[in-house]
Amino acid sequence: MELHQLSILQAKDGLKKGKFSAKELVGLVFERIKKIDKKIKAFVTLNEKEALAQAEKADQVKDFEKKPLLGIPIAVKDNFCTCGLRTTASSNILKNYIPVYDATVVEKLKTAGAILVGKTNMDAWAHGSSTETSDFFTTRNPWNLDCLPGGSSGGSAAAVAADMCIGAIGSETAGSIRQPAAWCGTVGLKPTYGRISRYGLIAMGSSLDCPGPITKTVEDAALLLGILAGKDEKDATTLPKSTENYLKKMIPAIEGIKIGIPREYFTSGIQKEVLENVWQAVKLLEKMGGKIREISLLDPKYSVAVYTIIQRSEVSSNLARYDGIRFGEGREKFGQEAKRRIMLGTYTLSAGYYDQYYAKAQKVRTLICQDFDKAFQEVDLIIGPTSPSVALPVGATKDSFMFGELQDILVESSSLAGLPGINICCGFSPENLPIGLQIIGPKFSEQLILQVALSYQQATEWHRRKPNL
Amino acid sequence: MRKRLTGKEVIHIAKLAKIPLHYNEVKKFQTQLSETLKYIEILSELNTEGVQPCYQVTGLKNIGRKDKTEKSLDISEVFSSKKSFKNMFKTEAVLDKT
Repeated sequence: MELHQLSILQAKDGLKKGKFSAKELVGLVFERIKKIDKKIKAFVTLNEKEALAQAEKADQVKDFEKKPLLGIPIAVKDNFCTCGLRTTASSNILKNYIPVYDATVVEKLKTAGAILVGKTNMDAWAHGSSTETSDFFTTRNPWNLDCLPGGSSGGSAAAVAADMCIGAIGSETAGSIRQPAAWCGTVGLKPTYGRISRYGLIAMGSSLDCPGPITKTVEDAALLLGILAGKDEKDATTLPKSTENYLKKMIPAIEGIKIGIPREYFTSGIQKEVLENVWQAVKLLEKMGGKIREISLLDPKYSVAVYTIIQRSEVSSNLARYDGIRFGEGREKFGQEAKRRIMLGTYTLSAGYYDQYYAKAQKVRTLICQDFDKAFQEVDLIIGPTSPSVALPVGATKDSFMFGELQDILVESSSLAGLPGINICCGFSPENLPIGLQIIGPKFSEQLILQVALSYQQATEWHRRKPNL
Repeated sequence: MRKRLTGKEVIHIAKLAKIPLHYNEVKKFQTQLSETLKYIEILSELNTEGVQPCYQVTGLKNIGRKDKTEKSLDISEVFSSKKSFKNMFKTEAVLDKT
């Protein structure tokens, strides 16, 4: 295996044992980027000079105990503010914006010794599920360059799948970590709302936004979650609950775990090969000792509507700050998708329509939360497909102005309820495109989700497959 | 069922949102926004009488921090993205001279 192909834990081990230096590792990652990112276009900005300087420092420090990510090259989605490094949210408005502070996530990565490779492409302002709404360019899926990587964290997922970094950070409002992870065949963990600080994350839907890891293995996701989670005075919605060393407790678990299969997530609207592979995974988990039972959840079509209202309302409020006065360009630079979302949100929040749309959506959101609470009285976790399809061809979003919402139909309910969920690869289509399954749990159940995901990963080989680039 | 948005309404929404629109965008957004509004009408199928709206999913309430001044940005950092005028931001005029 070549160095850039390593997982975080493998790279950590190699650095610790002195098998290679951080400088070699970081150098090889940039070599890989130069070789293939012309085709994939995962990165908006590269941080090569600084990264190599940091790698040299890491090689001198060698304090692996205090710095759990020392010398590890990590890619970060371009909606996390990085001090001194251009942060665009893939938008023309912030095309030349250089933040003067780090997002808490970035600060924590740096404190842990991680090396920032660069900033990854996304749907502009995270408005989409394809990266096609990026104001700059579309990222390509490493498994098939004519296909989309998903989104909005498409750049991060593609960078991980194509081994242009050792791990990456994404953010999810509803699906933006799990769906690109599914389409690119990586692990993507969306934690409980408030588990990881949103400070310095360019806001989309503030009651939903969650930063999270996109990685090559489940163990890497556990490691990153442990480093990034925790209360932050700068984000009042972060959970006061103490966080755990998730990695330390990563013992495979499946025996006796009650797993719910929602019949509404296995309908005719889902691609045949996706259904087949997810079913096979469910059967395997049952064979391994999982207690599978069918459950019923509220039809996800209602979540699409609730999400559309809440997210656009919050978008219209959050994006009101981009006036071009203190930083960034003027509002005439917003792309079509942002304009559409801001305008719909302005409408649903406006006098006379607030009750009809926003207040109604918030009430249905309560019903969705109660629906999950009820389900989790019967089962420990819920499993279903992450996305209704495998990666779609480039151009699929054209003229489909609710593409993201409909594409994310299977992840919106759990996002609205603030629940944690993970995507793991559970097979490939006949065209060799990855298929993802998601494991959703009650609030704060990341540990159990990770342990069950680990059981599946250990019993299968899907995560070892690499795209032919 | 809600009526289709009129062009006038689209222009009004754009004004509220401070989004400059081209003439040809009005018609496009009129269709697209109306269709989205039509989709979200499905929520009326659900009875929400007596249901409390959900404002915070993890149940946190009244989170504060000590009222202590913390280190803020340096003035040079504040103006690092835009040209300033005597350490002030330049904005569009709000008041008329006359």
